[in-house]
Amino acid sequence: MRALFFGIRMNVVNVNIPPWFPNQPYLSLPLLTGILRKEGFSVYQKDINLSFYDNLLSEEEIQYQVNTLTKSKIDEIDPKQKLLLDLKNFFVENVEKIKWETRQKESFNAKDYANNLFQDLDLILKLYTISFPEIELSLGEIKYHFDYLNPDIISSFLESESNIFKYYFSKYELHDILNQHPDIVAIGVTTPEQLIPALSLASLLKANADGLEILLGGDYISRVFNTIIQHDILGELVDFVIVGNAEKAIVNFCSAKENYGDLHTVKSLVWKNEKGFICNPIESSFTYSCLKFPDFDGLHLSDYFFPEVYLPIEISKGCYWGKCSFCEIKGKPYFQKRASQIMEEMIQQNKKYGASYFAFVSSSPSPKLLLELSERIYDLGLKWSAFLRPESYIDENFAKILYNGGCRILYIGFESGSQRVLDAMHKGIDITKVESLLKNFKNAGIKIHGYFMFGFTGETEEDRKNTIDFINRNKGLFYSVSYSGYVEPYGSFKGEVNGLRIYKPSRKEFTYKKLLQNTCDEDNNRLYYINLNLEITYEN
Amino acid sequence: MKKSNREEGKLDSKSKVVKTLLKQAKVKWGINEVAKKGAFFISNQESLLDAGTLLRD
Repeated sequence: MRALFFGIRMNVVNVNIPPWFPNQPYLSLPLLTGILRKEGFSVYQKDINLSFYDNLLSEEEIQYQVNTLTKSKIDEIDPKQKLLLDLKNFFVENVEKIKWETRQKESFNAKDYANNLFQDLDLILKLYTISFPEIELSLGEIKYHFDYLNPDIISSFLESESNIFKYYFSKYELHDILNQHPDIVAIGVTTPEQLIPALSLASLLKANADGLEILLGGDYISRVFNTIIQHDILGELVDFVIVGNAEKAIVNFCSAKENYGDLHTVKSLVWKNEKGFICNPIESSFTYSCLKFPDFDGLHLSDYFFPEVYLPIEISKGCYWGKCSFCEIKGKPYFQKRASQIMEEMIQQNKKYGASYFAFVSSSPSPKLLLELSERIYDLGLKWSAFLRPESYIDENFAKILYNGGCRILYIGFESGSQRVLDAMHKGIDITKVESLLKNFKNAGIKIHGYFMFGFTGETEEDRKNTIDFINRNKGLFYSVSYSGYVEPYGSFKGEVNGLRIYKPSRKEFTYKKLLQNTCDEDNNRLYYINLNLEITYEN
Repeated sequence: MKKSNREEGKLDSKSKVVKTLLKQAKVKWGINEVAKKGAFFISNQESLLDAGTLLRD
């Protein structure tokens, strides 16, 4: 690490790590990079999630994996893995072509063709289970065959030879990051599955660069940082954590570091001194007015597994409704950008990066914001997707304006077909009015993906049947649906002690069988749909 | 990032044997099943669906 002197700007390396689906950059990476660069910091950003999948799905790496399989490994393989070895020549010869096809627009024209390409890539990734049997890779997902959230188990896995991340980062990323001579490496940990990759990278960097400091941020680490920093080994790998929204905190943090300022003053920062870790107060204020646009410079936008430049945009934070009892953002403040700001951002990203496709990644923007935006951008030829609450005031004209403004798919949480359950959830929707909403969107040309939830507290067999009936009754109006099992946020609420909310971890998990069939409806071009063969088992 | 030097065309027609093996392997590995996640994460299938929908219009 360089010695920092007054007047010398800090070098920050900002990375996103697997697993995430590699069809567009994860927003926090260019967002925080843009904010820091605007303040004059030198930032090297890399979407390691993309390079992870791109490199592991390369002809060279697949050939290497096949060539280096030892006899003892081959002797240990199971019948599933044997099938992969039978296909090894096909994999080696075709992996680059399959990837190339995911970047061609015509691959998405043919029904199911793109789906097959992604399935082929998912299958090729299973080859890594032979050399790294404790994990199973898919595009955008990683399954760990051990308790991957247990700090002691994580700690022993980090140095294990079966840690694929240690193998991958050593071979492909370490040299590149160290070449930037970073003072700080910032790693986003948004999902639980990203914790091990993040700590693996931190461990490797710490072992190879004296004095280099690690900053973690993101939704998941914001919830569990206390467990990690208090662990004897894992706590040594982390120098700083930003808890919650990082937009203001990361600038304040970098400024304080650069100027040898007092870290006590950096809100939302967790840091350590000679006495241990210190948790500063959380930054509660936020405004979109002073934010800058995400900066995608340096990211390889043409290498994503998607034919067009397809960029994420945050249009709001939190939920304007904010009452659903199952939701983790319940009760948190809601912020939204102005429609003019969003339009300006879309125009800039279109001009600068050639993006015509956008994903509004905010979980619950106001429909009225989307309406105003649509009225402003109707002549720009940009297309987008968004999440939406199914408000009863959304009529036929509303849906048409959204379509004309470029909306092509909406993700809507309906949750249940039972009014009794919806009321218990404080969902605030009238199920009898939802069908006309679906018709309005269908008629306008907007496709609807519906989210449903089973197993909510107090839900009966009749409630579940009502949900299935609701979906089947409206099959022609949905483009697709998916479901999840209800898990109480953070477990059961047990009360407050000294202002701290105490939860008992939830042990109840749900297993659903035969709920979904991977089939395609000719009329609606669906990838899958829900059917009536519902079996639910409860596992304690 | 490494670029393919084989970016010249559609996938070769898969032989019958390869097609059968691919199908068997996908079934065995559960790749044809639709895996779902929690409410705030878009899963693989949904991302694909999203992207494909935007392009097909």
